[in-house]
Amino acid sequence: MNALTLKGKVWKYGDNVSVYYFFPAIYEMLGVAEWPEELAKHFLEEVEPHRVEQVESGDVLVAGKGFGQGKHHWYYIDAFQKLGFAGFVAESFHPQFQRECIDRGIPAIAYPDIPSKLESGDVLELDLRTGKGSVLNRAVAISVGPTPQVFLSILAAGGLKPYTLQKLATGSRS
Amino acid sequence: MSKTMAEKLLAKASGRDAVSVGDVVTAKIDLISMLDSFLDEWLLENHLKAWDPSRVVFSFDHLPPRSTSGFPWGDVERTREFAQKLGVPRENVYDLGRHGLSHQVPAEEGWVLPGMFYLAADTQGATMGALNCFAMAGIFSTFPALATGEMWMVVPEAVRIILTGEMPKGILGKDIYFRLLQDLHGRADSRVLEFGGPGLQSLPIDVRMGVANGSNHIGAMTSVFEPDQRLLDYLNPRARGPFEPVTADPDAKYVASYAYDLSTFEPLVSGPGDISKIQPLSEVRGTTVQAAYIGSCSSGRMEDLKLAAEVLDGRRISSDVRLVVTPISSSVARDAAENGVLRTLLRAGATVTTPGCGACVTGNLSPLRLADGETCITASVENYPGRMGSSKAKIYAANAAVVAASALTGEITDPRDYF
Repeated sequence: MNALTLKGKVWKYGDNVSVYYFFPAIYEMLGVAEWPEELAKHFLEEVEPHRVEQVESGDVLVAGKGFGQGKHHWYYIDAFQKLGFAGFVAESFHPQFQRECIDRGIPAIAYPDIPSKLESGDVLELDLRTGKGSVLNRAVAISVGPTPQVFLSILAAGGLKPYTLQKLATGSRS
Repeated sequence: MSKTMAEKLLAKASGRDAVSVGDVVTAKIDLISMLDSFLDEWLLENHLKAWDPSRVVFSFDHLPPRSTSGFPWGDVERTREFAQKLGVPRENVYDLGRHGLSHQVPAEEGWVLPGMFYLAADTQGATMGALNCFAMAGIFSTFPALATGEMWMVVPEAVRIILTGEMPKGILGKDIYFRLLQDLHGRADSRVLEFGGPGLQSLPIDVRMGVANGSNHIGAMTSVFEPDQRLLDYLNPRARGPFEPVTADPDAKYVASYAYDLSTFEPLVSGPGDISKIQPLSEVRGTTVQAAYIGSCSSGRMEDLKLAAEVLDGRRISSDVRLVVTPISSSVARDAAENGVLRTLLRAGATVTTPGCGACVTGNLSPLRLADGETCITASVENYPGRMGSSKAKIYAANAAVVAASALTGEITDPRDYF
């Protein structure tokens, strides 16, 4: 497992889902949100509180259009990661949410055709470099366009901070 | 040619003759707008300073001083130290007395100009698109950008918004943005909204900024407004350098186009609890409120304060309501004192606070904090539960005139009855 491949159980959601659906907004105002391990404990607290126990390392959150509405502070993204989510696949993202994920080193890739092929509980395997993969439990093949190179470079480096340090160290500022 | 404003702005920022939708480019940043609540030791730990400190502006807006206990996000003293360590000149730090919203001060002070690639550390950074620049919200991504002066961009699709007619009395930028949110939610993902048309000239710059402020909630990457004489009149006395406005080609390719006659607009109300829950004012008219707020990057500009003052002139707010008004900047507070708007607000019974984000985040010394079971009508930017105090309070969002009228009666009220 690395940031350039996804292999894990699918959690599927619909269109325009907000980060507040997963993590109640009150924890931002209480100053708790900035501690991702604490924020993670409140996952789905207001809608399906028992499900926090069911996230496994490598799980993939799959959604419809406009995923990641609401505030885009990095601590929400860190909290998803602390729970075990390896990345996000959606028909489209809120642009700020997607940028924050990529720059934190967590895949958030828009593939308009993939979400309709998946259901919650499926096991998705996807290589972001080639766009090839499959729904393992149903032996359904997936083929999409490759992820933009800039995403792959930042994800491979572990996020925009290490990527930036690499660029500055090698004098390769474009 | 056939280029949108977004394509032209990103071509300029990336040093290319032309770019097209889907191209991945590296944009050179012209200005970074920082606030006081997002600091990052990573830069200092790696011995990094701002790539060009003269292109970084700090505006103090969220935070109280260190002596205020219990505030989760730090204090302004830390921000002063951080700016200094980054090498940012003292005159670029809009500290107390010169302070205000990070989406207002850089415009007032002539830092943000047409044709620029502008990066903001706050989620509402698209507000500056009203000034015909490419205005990005960076948040976490702002810190690496501070070190490099660059930002990766995938050239976005654009949606054309054509405005005709004139805005009726009692309508502000918030109503335009709410109407767009109703129509475009789910249709604007990662796209740029490009505003133009003959109706634009009727919109003051304050109102345009109020519209662009909503881009994030509509789901758009940002908004860009065409340049016109009104924008040039705003910029010419304050611009810190030359600038070159950008217009779209007449045959530019848009993924969708929407036309609006501004004369058909009416006050809209959002909420409670969800900014995308929009309804006509008539649907919630009569709802009892205990708190009312005018301020934040979504209101608190002179056009908001003037319209609220017009509603409140010669009247007293309800004894069952506390109305707090936070001018968006020191400059607006000073102008409001000089033109009598502050006197009108204070005579009506409003509490006026130091410029900044104020009650929108129960920030920078605001006295307005909602208790369990209270209902608030606010002209600020967010209305999710817990935003202004108790998560058991209800928050409705509307324009500043609706807030003022509601403060008079103690229930959500149409301001058009008070002009």
